[in-house]
Amino acid sequence: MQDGNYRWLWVALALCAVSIAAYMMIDATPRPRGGTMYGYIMGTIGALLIVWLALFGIRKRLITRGVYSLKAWLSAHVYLGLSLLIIATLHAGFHFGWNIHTLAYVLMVLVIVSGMFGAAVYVTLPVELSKNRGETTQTQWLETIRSLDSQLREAAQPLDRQEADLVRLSTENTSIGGSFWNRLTGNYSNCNTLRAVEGLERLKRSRPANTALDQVDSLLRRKQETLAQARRHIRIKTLLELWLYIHVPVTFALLAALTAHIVSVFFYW
Amino acid sequence: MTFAVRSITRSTTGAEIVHRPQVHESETITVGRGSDCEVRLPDLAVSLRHATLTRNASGTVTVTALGSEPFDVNGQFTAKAELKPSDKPTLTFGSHVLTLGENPDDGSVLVDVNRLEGAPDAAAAENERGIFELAGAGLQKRPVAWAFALIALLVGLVWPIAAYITHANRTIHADKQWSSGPLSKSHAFLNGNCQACHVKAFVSVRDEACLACHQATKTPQDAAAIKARNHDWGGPEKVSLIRDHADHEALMRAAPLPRDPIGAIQAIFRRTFNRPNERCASCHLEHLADTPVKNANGTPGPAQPRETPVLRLTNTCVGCHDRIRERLSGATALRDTPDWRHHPEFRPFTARTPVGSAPARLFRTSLVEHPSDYSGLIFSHKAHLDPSGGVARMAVGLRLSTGALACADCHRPTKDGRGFLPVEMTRDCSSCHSLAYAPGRNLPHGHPDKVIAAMEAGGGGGSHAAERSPPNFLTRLISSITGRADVSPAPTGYRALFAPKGLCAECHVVIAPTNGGLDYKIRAVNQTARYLPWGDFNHSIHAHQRHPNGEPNCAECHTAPDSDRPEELLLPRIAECASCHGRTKDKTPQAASADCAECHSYHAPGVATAKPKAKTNPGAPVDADAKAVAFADLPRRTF
Repeated sequence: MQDGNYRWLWVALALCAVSIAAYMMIDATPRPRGGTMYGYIMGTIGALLIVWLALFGIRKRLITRGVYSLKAWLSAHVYLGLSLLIIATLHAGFHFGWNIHTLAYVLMVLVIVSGMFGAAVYVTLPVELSKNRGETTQTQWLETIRSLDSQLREAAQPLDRQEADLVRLSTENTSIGGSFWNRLTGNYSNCNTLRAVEGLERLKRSRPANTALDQVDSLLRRKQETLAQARRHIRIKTLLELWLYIHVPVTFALLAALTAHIVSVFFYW
Repeated sequence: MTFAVRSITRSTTGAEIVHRPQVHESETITVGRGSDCEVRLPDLAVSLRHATLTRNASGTVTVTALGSEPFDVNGQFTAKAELKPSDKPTLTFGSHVLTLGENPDDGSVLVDVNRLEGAPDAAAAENERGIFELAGAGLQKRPVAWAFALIALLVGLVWPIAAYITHANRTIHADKQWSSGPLSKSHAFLNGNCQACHVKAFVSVRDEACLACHQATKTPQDAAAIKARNHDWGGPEKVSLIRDHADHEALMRAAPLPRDPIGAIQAIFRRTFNRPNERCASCHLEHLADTPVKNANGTPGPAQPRETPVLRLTNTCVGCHDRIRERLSGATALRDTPDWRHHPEFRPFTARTPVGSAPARLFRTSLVEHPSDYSGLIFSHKAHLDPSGGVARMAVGLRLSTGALACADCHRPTKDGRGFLPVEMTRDCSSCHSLAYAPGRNLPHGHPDKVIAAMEAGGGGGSHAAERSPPNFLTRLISSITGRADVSPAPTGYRALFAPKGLCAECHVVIAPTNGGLDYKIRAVNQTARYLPWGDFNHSIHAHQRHPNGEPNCAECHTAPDSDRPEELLLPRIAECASCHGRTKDKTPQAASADCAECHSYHAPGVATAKPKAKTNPGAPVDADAKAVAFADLPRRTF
């Protein structure tokens, strides 16, 4: 976002300044709106910007260098996208209603706000991500869990049915990522490994000391620690990705609504 | 030998590896996870001692669950089963499958132990993406994105267009979502009927759409058709009917490109995209009814639906009328009017030549040429207005006035005071020019034939008429003309009426019959009803009729007191108007606006633009943008 000494921030600011100045100077009768010359110009700029911004979805898959590098493109995407808020609002002349035109505007605002959220998390969360991860990697966590599972299976062989079933809850029925809600909130109180630990805790109280059970218990607790770390990682990654699940589909809806807005205006000219 | 337990595993290539069997010389063997079991299954889904296999004397094998956990025989869970090894039954314990069989070599029961592949492994490496990325939670972007786009396109575009093509929008209103704002109250009944105005797709609203309801037409059929359509659409009973300012094609040619470059580019764009600025909808803007009406001081008033479309003037009068002849290639009678100072001289309708017996033909002639206006009458304004003349003395004598006659003694204003009624002899002249020939009997004015008939009927045409009626104006007149005191209204008397200096001939040109009969004719009289067809003048405006001291000021504009010739046109030159209009208060206290709208309006150029109605409620907003447009049933202007 700081690419080229904030080049695109200045471009976007200049665009907004010119738009606002022109808006103030032009006396539209009886009020500013999309159907004036200024409105048509702002509408054209806005529509071209929206299409160009949407093309980022294609552009980001191609990596290039220089002024037209992906980095520069992203910087332009962010700042010009933000300037669209002003351009589209001036295009509409602050006038809204229950119609296809305002729908396109609302969708655009949704896309921009989700994009602002995305930019914010991309600035703050990667630090959290690496802090949590330390020197480990996703694959390492999986390997650790896999290894703990196989150790658990071995260690649980002497256990009786009830105890073995609890261990199986952990080895066979623990979803690392969990549901969307688990990922978003980081709340895994329905985790089967947690249930296994709690179940064994209860059993241990009523049973004589058992080495195998102690070993299983310690393995399960190690697994819990690894799971917790991986799940913090997943939560941060969810926040990093979540906005795209609004940004992208609403962009598609926006492109369709924008088409309907433009065609309808000229259809009933 | 009773049981032979073989474990079967798979090589990396998938081939089966059958291990050497473990033989158990016992009638019963145990299946379980425990280390003491003959068939040991290292699977947490299996109990420590899960079941026993007992060989019976009959050769069958009885499988019995040892705990509460059942096992699976050929796909069915059970706690006990008797099986024939020859049937090769399969027993499933957790992820292990035991297949029984007969060993043909020694008749023992063969137990093949197979581990099922694909035991659950939540942390498998191939799951990494699903675990760490949001897609793993079942969320997907693309299908949702395409679905959203499709819904928006279908609802926002395809549906209304389909309804447009099938003319279904009037019932399902699929196109209402396209409306950019509410219609004004006057057009609110069309809110669900977009196609009433938006007739053709991708063509801006044409004048024909407006004129479908607003066209002023003279044929009853057209009027009935418009009324029926209006009724069908649910419109109001009364619609303002208008005429175009000029022929549409001529309007387009007469309208210049704006002088400012931005305006010119805009106009070129508009013309290129078939949305010219000279349409009804260019000035009368709809879908803006929720725009607050401006207060007189320019601030926005309260938000309330507008009564009529917003009026935005796209051209000014002088914008088109300056150098209009050039743009219309001279094919117009109009003169260029760049501003008020260069307003062309009035070109009134006048009868330029003496009037014959037929109604006068009127021609428009500029006042620059000092046109005459023959009325067909013999009349002197000077004689009537001279304070020391005979007329004044007679009026005093008849107690009609205390001095000279005033204009208002003969010229009666119309009801609204804007103009004057035509002078009527019986009403306006006969107080002096009496038509009475007997008490309570007047000669019928305007009908020479009936005059004779009336006199014959009233006086029997004989000599008794004089006895029956005291000397009156008529008899006095006849006797004064003929020089005979005992004259009676006999045929000679009738002739005297029409003779030079006779009663009729005093004001009229009499056309005597050539055959010596009594078939007298009077030359047709012309009183031009309206001199200036394309300009309005309101006599009722105080400054137009009175001096500041309250005295009538007719003579300021009409030089009647000096006019001795009956055909003299008494219209003022435009310079007379300019003595007040266009002046400033410091130059003349009667200063008035030089706005074209003072005398003209767009849709009826011959009528002044109506001023906004006086405020009944001083706090109520008045749209300072809008100027009410006056309508008049004037003939269409042709270029």
